[in-house]
Amino acid sequence: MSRAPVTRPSIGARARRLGFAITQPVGSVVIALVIGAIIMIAFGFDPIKGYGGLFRYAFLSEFNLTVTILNSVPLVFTGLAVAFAFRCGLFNIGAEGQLLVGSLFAGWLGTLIHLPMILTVPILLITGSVMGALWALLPGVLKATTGAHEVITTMMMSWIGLYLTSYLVKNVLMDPRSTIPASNKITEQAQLLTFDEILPFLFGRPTRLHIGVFLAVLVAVFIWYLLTRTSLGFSVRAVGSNPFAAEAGGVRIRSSIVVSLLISGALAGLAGTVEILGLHHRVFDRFSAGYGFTGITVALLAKNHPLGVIPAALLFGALTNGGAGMQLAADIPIDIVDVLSGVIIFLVAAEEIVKGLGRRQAKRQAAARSLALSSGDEGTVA
Amino acid sequence: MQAISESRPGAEGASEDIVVRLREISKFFPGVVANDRVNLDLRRGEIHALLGENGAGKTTVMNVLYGLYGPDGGSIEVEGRHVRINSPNTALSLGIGMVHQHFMLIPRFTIVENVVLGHEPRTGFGALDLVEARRRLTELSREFGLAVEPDRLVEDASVGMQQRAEILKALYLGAKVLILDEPTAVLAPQEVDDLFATIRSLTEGGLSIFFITHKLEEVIEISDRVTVIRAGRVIETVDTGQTTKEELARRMVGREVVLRVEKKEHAVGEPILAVEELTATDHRGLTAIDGISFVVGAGEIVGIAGVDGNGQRELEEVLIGFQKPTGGRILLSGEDVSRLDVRNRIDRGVGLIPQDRQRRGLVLDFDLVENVLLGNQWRAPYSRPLGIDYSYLREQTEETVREFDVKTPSVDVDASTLSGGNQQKLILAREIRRGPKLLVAAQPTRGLDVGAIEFVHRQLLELRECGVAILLISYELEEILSLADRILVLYEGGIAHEVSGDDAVREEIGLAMTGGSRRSE
Repeated sequence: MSRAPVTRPSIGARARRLGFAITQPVGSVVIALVIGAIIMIAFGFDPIKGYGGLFRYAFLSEFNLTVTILNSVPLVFTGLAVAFAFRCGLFNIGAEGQLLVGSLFAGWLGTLIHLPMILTVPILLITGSVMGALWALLPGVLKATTGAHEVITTMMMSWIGLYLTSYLVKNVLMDPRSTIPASNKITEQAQLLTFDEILPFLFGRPTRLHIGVFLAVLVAVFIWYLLTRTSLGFSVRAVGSNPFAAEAGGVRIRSSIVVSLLISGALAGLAGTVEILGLHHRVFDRFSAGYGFTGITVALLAKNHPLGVIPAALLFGALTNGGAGMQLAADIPIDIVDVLSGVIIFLVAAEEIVKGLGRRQAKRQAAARSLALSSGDEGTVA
Repeated sequence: MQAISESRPGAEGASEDIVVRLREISKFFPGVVANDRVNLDLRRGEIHALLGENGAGKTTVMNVLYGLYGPDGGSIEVEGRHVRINSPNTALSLGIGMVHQHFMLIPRFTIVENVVLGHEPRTGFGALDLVEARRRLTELSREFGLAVEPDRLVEDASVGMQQRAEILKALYLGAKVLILDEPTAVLAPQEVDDLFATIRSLTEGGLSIFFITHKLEEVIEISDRVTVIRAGRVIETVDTGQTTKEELARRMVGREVVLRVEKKEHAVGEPILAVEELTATDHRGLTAIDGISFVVGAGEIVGIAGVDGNGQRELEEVLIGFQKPTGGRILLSGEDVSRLDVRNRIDRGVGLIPQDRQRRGLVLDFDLVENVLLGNQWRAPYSRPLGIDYSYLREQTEETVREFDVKTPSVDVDASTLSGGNQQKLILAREIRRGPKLLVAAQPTRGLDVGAIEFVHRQLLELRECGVAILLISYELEEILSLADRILVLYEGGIAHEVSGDDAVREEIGLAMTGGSRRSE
């Protein structure tokens, strides 16, 4: 049997597709910055000074860059969590609760465990993801069996998780020596290595950057592979795009829904676990700065692309960090950062409107193309 | 509008009473000529069929006449006077009305409200005068024999009644020229007969009609003259009486077409599908299939005839596994599969050409490669331990596209960009290449043009010769008569009639489809 030559999409075509996909989110950010500038001017501030301060405090200097990157790490995980569920047509807005529950149990176990690091860290990461996944299990099962909407159920579970973890930290895990609600420190072997520990020749001084940064990138790549290159990912995307055709193609819709929410919950649980193991080294009451919710914005801006989540998370990590700088440098209230994220979300969400117009155009062109094809045939017939 | 006939330019057509004349109409879309110097005329009181394949440009030229598109060249004369039609309102004021393939009615309004919408009669206080509106509607309805219930909500009205409402709306606005775009596509056989009677009474009432279609039988049955359009050009205009179906088909497609594919005699093998006392409900929970039993053997095509809504959809859904039967059994080669899910049935050799191809058959925003993967994603050569083998899949897709002549610029485009016929070819290819034992083909040629229909029919007959059991569910009696070895008529969820393909009498089947007879034992 001779193999037919296979044409691949040309690099040019791929680049064009990528360029097209990126234009819109980047455009949204640019427009948001312009609108932010207009608002600053309207209130008598100097936008150049403001954005200058934002940029400086977000990126310029090792300390600032470190904070920005550390801010982004949990956002990569929560962004992936929300994006994955989105690809199956599910809106997991309860990532915050999954994050808290996952990290609480991982952190708890982390205070007790005395094994070599090579075992401890994986065990704790798995614990955190499993608990996060479990927190998303009920919404998944309810959606699959009764159709109960995940927006309601994940949110409800999120509040339960929030108060449950808060209660446990204050009443069960509380370090008696601590003045604020926080658990004991996790053991030495449970803590993620920092950059200066693994790369002493690059980082002379101690840094807070930990290997969770690599883990975030690795997991993003893994999720990308899972979604675009495996049968599971294909089924999930098919359910998200057209559940009726997916069903006809033998996809088990219910199990796809449950599995998607489990994976989503696991990623959210991982977000919190990496925070505890890498940064805080103990569980604080409500330590998450709304990472689960910001993850929704991150996923939106990334258009639910697992690799797009990385730059999107960096942007929001930089915005929260640089916002404080803006306040220091130009006396501009930090709230302008919320305005910026609000405008970005608005513009990305408004995409559907823009897309709708584009689709009408595309439809017309498709009609024209099919015509061109049929008239092309005439030539060969005659 | 009376002075017009005197100023008619050109004396060559003086003996004929021309209502509308299109001269050299051209219309370009980016990169494509949709209409290339189209000349058309419409005589008073005639039914003029525009025949062509999907995408040939018949609807485009009528949209130009109706003012939806501005022409890029050429001119239009109405009643001998040069006119410029730049909106449907202008067209309506010139007495030209159009009924689109997809109705433009508001589902939540009643029929009378829809008919008068935009030109409502008003009471002295400026409020909507529904009494007057209803009176005028009833008058029109009686005059042209278009029966509607004025106060029924459009969403509750049958498709036929909705169509009559659309026609009445055009008449209410004073249309003298009516453009009907594929009016029979949505209708059941009897409704088609009613529509044709209506159309005739309209022309007797002085209307002139452009009738867009790609169905040859309709052209022969209803039209006075026919214009064949291919690739944006007029191929010819002839008196319908002077031509034949075969002749028209050839001109329309541009090559010889076999309208009724040859079916070889061969013996039916062992039973593949056996349905026993099967019952199922519709989405409202009412009985839709009422204890039917039948068998489909290897190499046999069993046709399920019937009017839409008599249980066909539920039969399809139960057989493929979208819903579980409420009673009875489905045996596939002797094994009871009625409790198995879709994936397990696919694994046991069930294939489906779904009635609703865009909803059930394809993921429109996936490319062709991933649409070919659908239903294979867990199966051996495609699925590998480390994921889907996309390079193998791509190779298979390119082969599929080549083998089944799916017209597409590449396999990387979204399935939504394919024309209906090519979408259907893709589905057919995917299901056939999987090597099914049983193929459930529901409405496999709905909306396809003559060339594509011939292709689908050939494929089905080829499968039959390979020993595949085929259940053909179709609302096109013609299709069933030409393909089926055995015909079952589904009426109100039961089998009202059963006959072998050779002994089939069209009238008997037609009667059974409307509940005229019970199963002949």
